Amino acid sequence: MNPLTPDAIAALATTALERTAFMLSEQTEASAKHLAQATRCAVIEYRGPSAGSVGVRATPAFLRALAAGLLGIEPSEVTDEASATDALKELGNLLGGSVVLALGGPDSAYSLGLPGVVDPKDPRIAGAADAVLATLDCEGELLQVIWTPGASSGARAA
Amino acid sequence: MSCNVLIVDDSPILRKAIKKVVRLAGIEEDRIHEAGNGREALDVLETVWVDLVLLDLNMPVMDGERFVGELRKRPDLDGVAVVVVSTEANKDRLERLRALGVSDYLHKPFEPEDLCRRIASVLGIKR
Repeated sequence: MNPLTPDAIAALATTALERTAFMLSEQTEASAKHLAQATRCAVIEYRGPSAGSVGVRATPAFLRALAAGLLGIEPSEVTDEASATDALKELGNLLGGSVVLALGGPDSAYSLGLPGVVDPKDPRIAGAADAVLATLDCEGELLQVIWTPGASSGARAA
Repeated sequence: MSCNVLIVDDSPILRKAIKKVVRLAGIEEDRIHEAGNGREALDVLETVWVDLVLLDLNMPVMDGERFVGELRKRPDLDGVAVVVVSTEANKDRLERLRALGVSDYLHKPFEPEDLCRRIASVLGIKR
């Protein structure tokens, strides 16, 4: 049985978005059509008592809103792709940290790698059989968090 | 407030976000410096006196732990306070950092007010 449920992962993501970018979100079901628009992906791997990865998958509009929230500006003012990509990677970093803290507790023996941008077809995004997924609606835009316990680093991050 | 603060994080967007919090703590814009990794941070310290380093741990080129190790080899930089701001929660790593004299640790995601309070506490700023 996985120690983290979709609800638990959704709660971690909700907290991270509120604290970091003042974004409100709620757990939702993802339609295939909506998910197809979530083309921006990043993955961070962790190791320790167990190894695995945390992936994030988001729509471009979500990333503009996230970048705007981090910077304290309007989404329309986020015009450079670099800011959105940076926000994506940082979100992966934040959620990776939240997941390993939830797994290991305050005496955590886990270590995180560096987040990297990946293709939606990356198996750590597309979803392994034992992956745990949580999908959130953030003010109309989609974020999906994919926790894959026991993932290997076979697929290189971009 | 005449203190200098150095923000060390490989995420440019998070450096900007932290910079806003440092401004809220009362530090003037031109006294806030940035670096994208530990090596760049050491380069900044060659040219600017810094009172406080806000330090990420997991960075390319030179990570935060190596940076603190290098910092503590420099007697001329003995007075530089370090607060770690990181997603890292590895207990052994944090203990090594405390042994190197890291003043405080704040886990990401953090409440801006919490970071503001830590900055003020370390720098002795009355809020």
